[in-house]
Amino acid sequence: MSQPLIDTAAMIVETARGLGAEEVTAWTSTGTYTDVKQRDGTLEKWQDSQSRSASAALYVDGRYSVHNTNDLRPDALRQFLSRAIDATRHLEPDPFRRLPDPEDMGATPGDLDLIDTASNSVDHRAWVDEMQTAATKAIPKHLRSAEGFVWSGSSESAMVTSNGFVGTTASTEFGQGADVSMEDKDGRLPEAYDYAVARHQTDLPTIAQLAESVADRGIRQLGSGPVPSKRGAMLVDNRVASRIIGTLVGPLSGGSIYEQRSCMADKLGERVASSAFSLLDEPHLPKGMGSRLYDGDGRPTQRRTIIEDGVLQHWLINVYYGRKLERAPTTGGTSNLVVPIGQRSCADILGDLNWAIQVDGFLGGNSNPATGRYSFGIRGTLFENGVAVKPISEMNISGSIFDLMDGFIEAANDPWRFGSCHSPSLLFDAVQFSGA
Amino acid sequence: MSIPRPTGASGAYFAALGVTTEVTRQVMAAALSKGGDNCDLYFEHSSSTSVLLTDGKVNQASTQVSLGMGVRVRIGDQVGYAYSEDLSPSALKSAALTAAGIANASAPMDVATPVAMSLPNHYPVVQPWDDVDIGQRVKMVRKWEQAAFARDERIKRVEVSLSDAAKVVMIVRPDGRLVEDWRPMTRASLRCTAEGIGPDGESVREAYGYNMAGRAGLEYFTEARQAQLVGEGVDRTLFLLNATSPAPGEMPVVLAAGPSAILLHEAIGHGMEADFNRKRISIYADKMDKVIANDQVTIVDDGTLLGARGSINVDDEGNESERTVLVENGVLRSYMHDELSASHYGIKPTGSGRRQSFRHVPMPRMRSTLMEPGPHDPQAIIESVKSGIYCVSFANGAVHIGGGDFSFYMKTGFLIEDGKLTAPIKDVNIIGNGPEALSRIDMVGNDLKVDDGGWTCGKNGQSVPVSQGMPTVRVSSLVVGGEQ
Repeated sequence: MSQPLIDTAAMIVETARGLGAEEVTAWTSTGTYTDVKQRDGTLEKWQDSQSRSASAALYVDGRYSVHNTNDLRPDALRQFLSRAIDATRHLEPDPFRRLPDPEDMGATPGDLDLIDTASNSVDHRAWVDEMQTAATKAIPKHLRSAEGFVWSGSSESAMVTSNGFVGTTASTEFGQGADVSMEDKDGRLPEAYDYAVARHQTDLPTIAQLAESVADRGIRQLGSGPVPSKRGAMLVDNRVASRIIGTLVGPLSGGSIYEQRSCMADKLGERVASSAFSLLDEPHLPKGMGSRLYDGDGRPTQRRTIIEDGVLQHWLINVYYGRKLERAPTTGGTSNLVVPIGQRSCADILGDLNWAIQVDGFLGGNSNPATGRYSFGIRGTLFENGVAVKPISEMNISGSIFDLMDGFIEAANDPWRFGSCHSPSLLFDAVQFSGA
Repeated sequence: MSIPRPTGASGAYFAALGVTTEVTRQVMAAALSKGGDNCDLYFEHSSSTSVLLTDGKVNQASTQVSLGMGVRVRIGDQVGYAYSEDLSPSALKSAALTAAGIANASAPMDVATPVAMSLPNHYPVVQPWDDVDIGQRVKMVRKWEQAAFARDERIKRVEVSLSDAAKVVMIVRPDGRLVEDWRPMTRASLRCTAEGIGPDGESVREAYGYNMAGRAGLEYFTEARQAQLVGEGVDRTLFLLNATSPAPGEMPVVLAAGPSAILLHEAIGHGMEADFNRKRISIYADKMDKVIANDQVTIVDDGTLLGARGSINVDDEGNESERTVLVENGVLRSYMHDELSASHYGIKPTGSGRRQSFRHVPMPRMRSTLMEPGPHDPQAIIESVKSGIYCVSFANGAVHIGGGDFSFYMKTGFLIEDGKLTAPIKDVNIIGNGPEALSRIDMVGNDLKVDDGGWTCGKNGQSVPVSQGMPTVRVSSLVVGGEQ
């Protein structure tokens, strides 16, 4: 299936070598997607996409550069590579840039079940109509407008190196969701959405489940506003927990460690979260959105516990930064991030707290990877003793990621599996909220 | 290397790639063969080059080339879209027939033979990047790195990148319009890691920097701009060493002239993109000709600023760029329109239909969003605040279009105590509600400054370059993140 992609990548390797590159990695990919939107009963947009791309990493006279093109006409490609190689010769040498040793390269054996052959027979028009109609029907009052969206597609890629590595990937994906605009008493039109994406269409939540979730989120936005600033408990909804996980994982990259821009630089083997918290990188989950058998260096992927019982076990180090840091590489990037699930439901957790804000969305904000300080806008619901008492918006949370993670209490039993971050809802104590 | 400015007549560049006016006419005929109301063909050839200095060496470069055509068919408010990365006539017609699938009538529309239109030029380039070899770029980033280290011994690491890009776009319409635009861009970024002593005597390590961008050639990097890149990159990083978090809560916020226009972009700009209003999901949907701000407030979105990152000679639907007055003395006067929303409202488009690339559908977008100067002396604005904060630089922002709540992330600033700037502060998110924040802008300074930062705006998964500018402004109250 991927033979034409392998052939093109091999041709790029061969051509670049012929033009003077000592070592070459070539990547090729193709993708086909259809995405369709319908708003309030009218089809709004239908887009068909067919894309292709080729990239080459060139190692020329001890120098290194990376190039990407979609113009694969043979003459254009040859000219592109020739100019790229000439340009590389003007750079300064980098002795750490060379391909990994061939014996360290290869793909983990196995089949990740990433392809759903049903992708060729999807009726997008009926599907999007069902999705949008369900969302509209789920909100009998206060609805201004509802949009349903669905998409499906497939992609393939190949990676070929001049020292003999050949890898291919192929996958399909299906997504569906809705966003709604509500009519609030004061003229505001608060919006809410939910969606899910999966490798196999039958693994998606049902349209009724998603419509109900969107409706619930929309209705919960009505009458929202800030409450006074306070320190208190925060339950982060499973769908948006990736914002917290990402803040924790970003400073683990080999580049930021080496460049001394990371608050995790002196934390290997140290406690970075409460002992209740663990985080895994699971590349071999069947049907996983982030699953893969080899990484960006062409090395076999493996399961890793990044944080175990609160203690940092690994940085994310590719072969290049491994050489610079004089450490064995792990992997340059994560695949599926997994937080183990807990015992209790969100309702049970909230029922035990006399004051807690359940955060179901973040609005902007940022974090400083060098210091670990973060500040995010939030929206959600204030609960007192398990009862929802006020919809929350226009509030911020701020502090140090280490303090936040030190205050991690427990994970709920509601994992969200429709993306590459599989986290349940997460409970934190003593979070600084700023509001009215 | 960047694509040089085409020297031939409009249309000649893509004709040389086999896309003659006759081919475009045939492709449009295919696009409208099922009875769509209108269509557009958007051809794009883009290239970019960047070099990176890191760890003391200019040892990484990257280049990118992209070529293709997007075809959109419209029927009422409905859009069919497809694209092709192969410019052969058969591939283009196939994409057009796919996009035509949105329509289902039998009567094809007439297509006029395209005639090239001339355009004004808002980005004259003196020294094009295609004349500048990699070796010269290497020398430039090396010079900036050395200047950064020389500026302060607390600077421990420096990373510098220099990028340039250019794209040729051609838009062809069934009414016979053909426009071609060459769009250059350059961007430089300097990031530092500094080590020093913090406000409580502790050892602190911080990382930050500065970047600048414009539609220009090598001449962009005047001595003054190079000094600004290095000076701001170093000084902003050092500033963080001594800065702390403010106390959280609601307080008056003074926004310094320049990049503070991120408030305009988030709190106001997105809500005035007409697609959200056409769909009646923007908080500004029913506010046309109504008072939405203090009468000191006039806001424009200007695509014609000379050499600005957000400038365009023509939008991506083939409509000429312009200066659009959004809010005039506090009254909402216009949204930003693409053709779809303009025809919905029965008015002329404002040249705001933009897209990330040929792979994307155009939609109303900002260009350079500015607040016009007001009557107040900036110093008097600071002195008017008893207790609040003064925001200097920003990282990013976000907005909910319908609810109107927006936020922006302040990277550096100061506390204001009794009308004076006191302790340096950093890293807090500021959140508010767009219409409320607009109504709370109660002092506008006389010191409009257009920021030259390399801002990129994201919307519905598409990124486009934008600019922004603002005078010093006081907002009587916003919710500031922070820690007690």
